[in-house]
Amino acid sequence: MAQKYKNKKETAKKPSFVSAPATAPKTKERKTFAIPSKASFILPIICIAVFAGIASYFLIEKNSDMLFMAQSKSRFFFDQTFWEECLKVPGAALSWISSYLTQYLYEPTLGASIMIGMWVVLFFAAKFVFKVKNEWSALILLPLTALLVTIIQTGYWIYYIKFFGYWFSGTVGLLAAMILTWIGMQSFFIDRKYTLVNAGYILLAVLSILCYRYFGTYGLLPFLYIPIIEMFRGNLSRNGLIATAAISLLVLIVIPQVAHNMMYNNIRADLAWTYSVPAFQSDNVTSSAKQYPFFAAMLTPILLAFVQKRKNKGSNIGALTAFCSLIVTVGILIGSYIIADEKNIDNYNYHAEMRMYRAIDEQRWDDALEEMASIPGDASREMVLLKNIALFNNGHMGDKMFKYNNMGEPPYVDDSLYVHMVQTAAPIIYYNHGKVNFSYRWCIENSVEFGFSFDNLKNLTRCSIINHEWEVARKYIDILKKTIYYKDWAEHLEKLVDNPSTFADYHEFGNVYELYSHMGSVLDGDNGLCEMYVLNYFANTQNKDSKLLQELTLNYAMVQKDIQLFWPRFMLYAQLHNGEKMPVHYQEAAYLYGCLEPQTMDISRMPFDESIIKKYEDFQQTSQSLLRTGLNAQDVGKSMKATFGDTFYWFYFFCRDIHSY
Amino acid sequence: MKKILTILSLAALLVACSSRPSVPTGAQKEDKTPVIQPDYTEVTIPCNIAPCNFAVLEPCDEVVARIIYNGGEYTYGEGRKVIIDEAEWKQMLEASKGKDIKVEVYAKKDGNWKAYKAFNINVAEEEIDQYISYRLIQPSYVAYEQLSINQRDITTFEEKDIYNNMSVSTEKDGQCINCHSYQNYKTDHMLFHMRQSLGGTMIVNGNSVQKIDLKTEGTISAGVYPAWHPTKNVIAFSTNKTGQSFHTKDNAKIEVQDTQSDLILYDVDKNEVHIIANDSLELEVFPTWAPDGKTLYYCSAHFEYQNDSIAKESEMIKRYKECRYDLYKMSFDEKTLKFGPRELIYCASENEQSATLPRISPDGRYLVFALGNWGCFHIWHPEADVKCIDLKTNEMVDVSIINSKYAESYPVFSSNGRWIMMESRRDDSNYTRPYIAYFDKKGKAHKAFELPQKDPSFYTYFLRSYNRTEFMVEPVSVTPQEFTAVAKTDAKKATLVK
Repeated sequence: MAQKYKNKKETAKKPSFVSAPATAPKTKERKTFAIPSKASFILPIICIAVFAGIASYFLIEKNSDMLFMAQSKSRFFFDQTFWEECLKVPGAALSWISSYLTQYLYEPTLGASIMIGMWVVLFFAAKFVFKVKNEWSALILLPLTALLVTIIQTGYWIYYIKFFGYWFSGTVGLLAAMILTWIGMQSFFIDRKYTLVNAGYILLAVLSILCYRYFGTYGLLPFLYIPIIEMFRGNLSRNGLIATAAISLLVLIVIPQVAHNMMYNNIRADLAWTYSVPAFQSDNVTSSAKQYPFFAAMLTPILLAFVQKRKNKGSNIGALTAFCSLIVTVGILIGSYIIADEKNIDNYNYHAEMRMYRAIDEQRWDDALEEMASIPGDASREMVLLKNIALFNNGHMGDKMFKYNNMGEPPYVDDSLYVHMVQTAAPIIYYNHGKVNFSYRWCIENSVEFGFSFDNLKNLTRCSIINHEWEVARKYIDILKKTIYYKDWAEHLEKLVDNPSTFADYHEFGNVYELYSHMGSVLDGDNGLCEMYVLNYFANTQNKDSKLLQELTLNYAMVQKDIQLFWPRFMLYAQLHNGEKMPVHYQEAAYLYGCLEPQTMDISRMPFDESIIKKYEDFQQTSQSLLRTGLNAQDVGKSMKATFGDTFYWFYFFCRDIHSY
Repeated sequence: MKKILTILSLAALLVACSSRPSVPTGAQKEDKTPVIQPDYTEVTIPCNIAPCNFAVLEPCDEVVARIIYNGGEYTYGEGRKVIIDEAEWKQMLEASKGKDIKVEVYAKKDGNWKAYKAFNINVAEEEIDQYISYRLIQPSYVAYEQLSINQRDITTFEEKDIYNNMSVSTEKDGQCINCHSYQNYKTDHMLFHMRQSLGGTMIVNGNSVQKIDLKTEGTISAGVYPAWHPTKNVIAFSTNKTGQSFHTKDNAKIEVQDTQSDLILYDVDKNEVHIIANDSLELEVFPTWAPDGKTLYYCSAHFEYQNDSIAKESEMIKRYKECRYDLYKMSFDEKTLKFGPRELIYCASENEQSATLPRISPDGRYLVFALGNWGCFHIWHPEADVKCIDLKTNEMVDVSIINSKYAESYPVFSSNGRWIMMESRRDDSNYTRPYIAYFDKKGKAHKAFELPQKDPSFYTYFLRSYNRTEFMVEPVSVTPQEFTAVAKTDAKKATLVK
């Protein structure tokens, strides 16, 4: 049929060529609206340049904090053991390379640039393999947009992803699929002289088990792409095409199962086909929608087969085609932005938590507080706890803990994922509270479920050092020494492990060790509720040997709003800090409790600041007058927040119904 | 010509890379043996064990080891590691049975070579069982994800899955697997448990593989710690109500406690459960058979709950240090499946200690067990050690040489009784590793060595523990896929015989 069409076209064209006078002008309209094909090379460059801009905006501008967290929750070690771990599941090379590249997200700009760079390569690789016409290059952005979405869509799933090298897996996988497709289409594998598929393609089918072993599902994509490309390219005979398609289909159906039976005892048989598509599963929640971008990235390249270059087509782009392609290009670019914007998790607290987490991890207390101070709405409970850590480490708990937001905005999720603090930040919260064994426990629990990440290994190292378990600390240090970005950190602590007597010189452990060493040793459990445990434990602890621990017990007794727990801790604080100025919030609490329950404590001789008393009187007066207007307690709280939101008074009466998680 | 030159250059490079290092001359002598990992200095090894590859932990950039044996010598060195060729190692072991292999280590730092004091590796005449099996698990607390029971050919480095829980389990359908056990070191009669999703006890009985639900209305739980009778098709199990709590500060980190436990006997052929012991004031656990099958050894703690107003779990947490296990035995009539009265073997509690996990040597003379200060889960007790009793004299045998300052637990004898394998946390106090010690004909224990790995740094980077290390004389022939297929079926309910 194609041959007939070609002949007709040539026949139709020939007379006009012959009969046209040598000087006759060429058809003017066509020349005016046509784009010379040589000039059209600029279109793909514009497409990928604009897309790179969009990707940079979403990755670097919007998600730098998330990218840093992504690498800290991942792992890669230059070690045989790591490679052997990768080999245990389909797509060993995919996992290894992706995990390796994920390390560079430590420097989000560098990591994102590598990712975008790979997308540029992927763009041109797809264009080359599918022989996409310049004017339809924008279609290649469809899989790239899907890849971008896989990165920015995760939200709190970032803490629950189990897939090795998640962040680069789609990119590396698709790039591998393009390369393997190109290899598979070489004449060695597909001999177009023959009517039936030659031995080369059968050999390729046999080798596909290796493609699957090293690139998982992506390794089999060439068997989806090749028959479709050949079908639209029209180079194969009908029989050859049918045979190619049949073999490909057989590979796609059989190879994952064969590989599963031969090589993998550790994956479910039904997952063999889609193993390289990360699962979004946690407890009873499965978020299939978050897998769709991965499938889209794999399947949208099929569209490219429709817009291949054909050898015998005219060289210039017609006006209509040019117009259509322009519309499509602009549409895809705008669509890419809209989809990315739609899927990007832009919740302020989600990002701020990550920035605060990093600041706490690096003991940049002021930065953590600055972050906390700039939140536009209510904080999450994790942020409140991180803020407390920063405050008691820089000694301002008593003066500032209620000057920040202490509410409990629940973590933002766009599906039914239930976020547990023990899985997001418990190790660092427990560690900084001196609850080293609990920190260690949650590092291990989370590592069991989500893998031994850099972040967990760092925490495990610190906990082991505080526990003076030098041998196991050395183990974790040895592992971290085999990384790019944690090597220096590990080597710094290696000196301590080599010479434990220098422990006191390592000031980063000072406060944690003080809390740890003054706590009792009992059997206990947190029932998976980190915040509740911390509050209850410290509020119910008494200690006079450590000022730091004692103050913490007072702070958490105040957070618990328990008057009976407050007074002994307040009095002990006063005793331990005799001669020092009593911090504002402690005065506020004492004055409030003294007024509320004068029978419990006589505060008439306590030297309160005038401003404390004045503020309390104003607080009482304002609240009473607002209540008289008929407002309910919640609305009164809202009305008074601007003036009194930084006081213990407001916290005591209006900071309620907080749900920990 | 160009091609020939390229090939020749590559060949030369290959030869250069694979050539043996030469022993450095003029090395400065060090008056100490080198610190190596794993520590194979002055150990006794079986004559069929895999190569004892090691890394030198002394500050150095490069090492050379000269291994001198009866009949020759070889040199090795790859950076700081000494990786021994498997064929050459076999040859060395064969020639050195009952003799020593001498190892000289040279280490280069900043261009200067040091010659460390040589050490010996004694090669015993007795072989070790070719296979061992173990569960690989993170040093876990509550969560579990990827668990596998593996078998390792310890005469080589080959390791395979026996069963991997990820073949059936994910997330809410997660499956815990544990307590693999064999009849008389053979694998044609073996079992392991599956918990939670698709739960049951996987029992291989000759050619049949079945999943059994051992929980009956009259027992505390399904079967837990198993012991397959050496000749009969019956299995003794403990049934347990187990809890876990966490030390806020102690390096032990975890306490695992039973609030209730009894003993049952499962008749494999009849699918029947019989009660062996269920005294409510006793916590009976860890059954093990004498090699002749006529005696059942086990542990029991006398524990009386004193406060009815709180849950047993809470009281146990408060009084966990008072729960101490002693060693007992009872006779067994193979025909009637009846047990005699219990007899005390070793009263650990009177010394304020707790004895667990007994095993009897194949000749029936020695009993090894783990001894800690309290409780039943000694792998989390740093003070726990392996102990041995001579059942002929009822005297303790000094096996202190096989212990360390950290936890040792789960001792087992090889089928010829010459090797004791145990779990030890001596490497780093947190991760459990398999250690093997020679136990000679005179009943004398020798320094233990760590199970060799191809890469001597393997244990540093491996973040799982070895759990329930057991000897086997043959590999498990049921494939993981076959186990998976049975795992997906419903468990057959066992019947309680009252």
